[in-house]
Formats: sequence, structure tokens, C-alpha cells
Amino acid sequence: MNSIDLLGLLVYFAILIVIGYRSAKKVSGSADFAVAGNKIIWPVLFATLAASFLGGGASMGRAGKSFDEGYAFMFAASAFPIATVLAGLYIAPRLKRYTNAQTVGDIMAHHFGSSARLFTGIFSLVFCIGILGAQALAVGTVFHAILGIEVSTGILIGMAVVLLYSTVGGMWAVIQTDVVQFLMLAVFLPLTMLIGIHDLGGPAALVERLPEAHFSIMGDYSVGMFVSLFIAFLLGETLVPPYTQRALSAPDSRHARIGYTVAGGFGFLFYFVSATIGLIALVLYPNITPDQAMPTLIRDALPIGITGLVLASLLAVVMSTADSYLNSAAVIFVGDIYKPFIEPDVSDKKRLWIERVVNLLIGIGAVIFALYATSIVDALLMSYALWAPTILLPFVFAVLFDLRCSRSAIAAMLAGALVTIVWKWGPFDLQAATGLTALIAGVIANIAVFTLVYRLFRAAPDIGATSHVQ
Amino acid sequence: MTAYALALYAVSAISVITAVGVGIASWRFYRDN
Repeated sequence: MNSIDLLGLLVYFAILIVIGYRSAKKVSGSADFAVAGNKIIWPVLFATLAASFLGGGASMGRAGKSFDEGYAFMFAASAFPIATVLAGLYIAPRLKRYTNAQTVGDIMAHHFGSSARLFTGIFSLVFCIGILGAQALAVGTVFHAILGIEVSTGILIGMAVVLLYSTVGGMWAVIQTDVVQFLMLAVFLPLTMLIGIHDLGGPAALVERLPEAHFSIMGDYSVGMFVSLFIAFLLGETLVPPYTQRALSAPDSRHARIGYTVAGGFGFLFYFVSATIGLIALVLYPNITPDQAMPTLIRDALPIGITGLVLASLLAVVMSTADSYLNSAAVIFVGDIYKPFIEPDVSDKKRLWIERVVNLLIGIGAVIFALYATSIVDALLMSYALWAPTILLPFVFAVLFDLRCSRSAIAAMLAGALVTIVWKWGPFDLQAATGLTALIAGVIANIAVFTLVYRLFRAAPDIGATSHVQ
Repeated sequence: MTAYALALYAVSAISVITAVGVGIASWRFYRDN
């Protein structure tokens, strides 16, 4: 790598650390650490949410998929931006009714009681640590792909910076660094795409040199497979803890609604850019592996000086996702487990101190998993398959219809988890036998049990429900 | 210019303009907070 490019990368890291240092002064209590004092206006909320959900999968992953299969995967994955727009219109504004809520568990506790909070808290914690470990691995992979250094060294350098600013600055630092990272990915990845298009002779040349199927909506997918993928993206990551936490950081429902909705809209643009980069790489470098599509284009096609900035953008994509999940994990541990079940009377000052220590410990743990035990990261990532079939729909029903029945939520979460686990990891190939994926089967079980138990027990008193609603 | 070419350039332009808008709004936000 050229020394000018290296300088660009070092300047980027320096900016992140300075932001962390300056943010530390703004963090005087737990609300600052968890939801930035509920002050985040919609343009900032939009940028931080977009930077959080546009991670390694939406960039390098999407480019690799389009390298392999054309635009079809992008069209199926567009269900996630659609879900984000819908959540922005119908869920995010309603979340501001929950005064002082910082986590999904706070809202679940309000509607479904303390058992639902504990289940949501433990599950969310595992989920966040799994994604964090995967993003730590992605940080190392980007360093390796571009600089040629060891993956482990890349993980240590990148995650040390993330740990530093997120531990001292909490959500204030995460949001500010996310904005810097958003600006980089919104400018430099489209620039990479345009330079790549120019190198191969313009958009017409790209269309001429690839098979027609690469530009179709469904590509080589069957209708059933496309619909399954679409549903997986529609529900799989919707309203996960860090994204919900963003809506809770807004000052009012208007800022939550606009920030969330615009972020969903931006997702469509970004997916198109990432997928097109994959197609460009396929024409320019047909012999590379799909996962190298984006890093190779950045390394080989861009002029000196730009490469370092675009590498920094690629790191920004991954690091902004990692910091969001890290902050969420710490906030969830303290808000949904420590405070309600271990020390209910914990002072705000002590709570902030614990959040910082837990942030540091979880970050170090995720790095160790990524370095020495990737199988643990894989195991934790199994929770990814369980978010939609367990927590998502009871959470959405509760927020939309103000439902209160702890038994229905607990039964639905357990049923959804059980069916998904049996479907996905059980001894029989139920997907082949029924045509339903594990996620769809789990979601059906979740909705059916929730509805049934709610009808049976809705008159029963809430168990340990707490009030957050104004 | 084909619709595809137009989409590529339009998406790039919207992305950069959005970044400029977010940059200005964020700068004002951090100055006031």
C-alpha cells in the first residue's frame, strides 16, 4: 500500500479516537451511554442507523453474491430496507411512548412482565455478541484483503480502536463515529462503482459483457426460493436491539419516524451500489473468488490516494456495525439483567461504570472468540436464526396493539425457538419434507401460539409488568 | 443514455448529496450539543 493511502487510513483512525475522547465529556449518566440523552435528531439518527445495518454483509457480502448470481440476491435482500421503512412508519414513532426505555427488554417488560424481559435480555445479549464476533472477523478480513497483514493483527488493530471510543464515549461516541463512517461509505463506495464502470467502458459495456440473467429480478432462483429469501430478509434482522435503540435515542416520535424511514430508503441505494460493484469485479477480474470482489476492485482499480480512503470506508462499514452491537450488548446486560434481577437500586453513577466495564469485557471476549474460537462465534450466530421466530412478532404486536399478556409472549417465544431449532438443527430434513424454511416454520409457530394463548389468558393479570408509558 | 446508466449515475449523485446534507446537519447538531 502506498504511503499516502496509509496516511489516509491513519487519519481515519485518529478521527475516531478523538471523537471518543470528546464524547466522554458528554457522558454523565446511563441515559447518555445508552441512548445519547434522547437528543438524536433525524438526520443523525438516519446516518447512524444506516451505518449500523450496512455492515459487511450489505457491502462485501452483497458484492460477492452479485458476482456469483447477478442482481437477483439484491432484489430478494431488498426486503430488509422495505421492513425498515415499514418499521419507520408504524413502529419507531410508537417507541417514543415508552419513557426512559433503553432496550427492547424494557418494552417487553412493560407489556409482558419480567420473565419476558429476562428471556429477551439473555437472547439479545447472545445475539449481539455473536454479531460482534462476526464483525470482528470481518475487520481482520478487510485488513488482510487490502494490506496483506495477518487477519489476527487486523482484528486487534481495528477492534482496539472500536473498544477505545465505545467504552469511553458510549452511545454519543458510537453515533458520532457512525456519522463519520456513513459519510465515507456514502461518498466513496459510489465513487468506487463509478471508477470501475469507467474502467470497463461505461454502463453499456457492463450490460454487454454479462449474461442477461445477471440483470433479471429473480435470476436463477425458483419462485419458492426467492420468496423464502425475501421473507428471511423481511423479518430476520428487523428491529434487532441496536436498531431499536436508535429509535429510542430520538427526542420525539417525529424524529424517530423520519430517521428510520429515510435510513430504509438509503438501504435500497446502497444495496444497488454494492451489487453493481460485484458485477464490475466479475467483468474485470473473472477468476477471483466472490468474497474478494469488492476488496480487489478497491485495491486494483482505484488511483493512489483514493485507495486508502476507500479502504477506510470499507473498514467504516464493518466497524460502525461492530460498535453498535458492542454498545447494545453492554446496555442490555445492565438494563435487562443486572439492574432488574441483581441490583435493582443501583445508582446511575454505578450503572454507568458497570456499562463501561461490561462494554470493555464483552469487546475483549468477542475479540478472543474471533481470534481463537471461531466455532464459538458460529454457535452464537445461531441466535441470528432465532430473532424473528421468538421476539420480533410479540414485540411488534405489543407496540402496535398495546397487548399485555405475559403467558402468550413466553409461550410464543418458546414455541418459535423450539420449532426453529428442530427444523434447522434436528435429525430430520423438515425443510425438504414441507417446503418451509426454519424461519418461516418458527414464525408460524410463534404467531399461532401467541394468538392461541392470548385468547385463552388475556383477562389474566400481568405478571411483574413495569410501566414506561407516558 | 439507457435507463440503467441513468440509475447508476442518479444513485451515486443522490448518495453523495445525502452525505453532504447529513454532514451539514450533523455539524450543526454537534456544535449545539
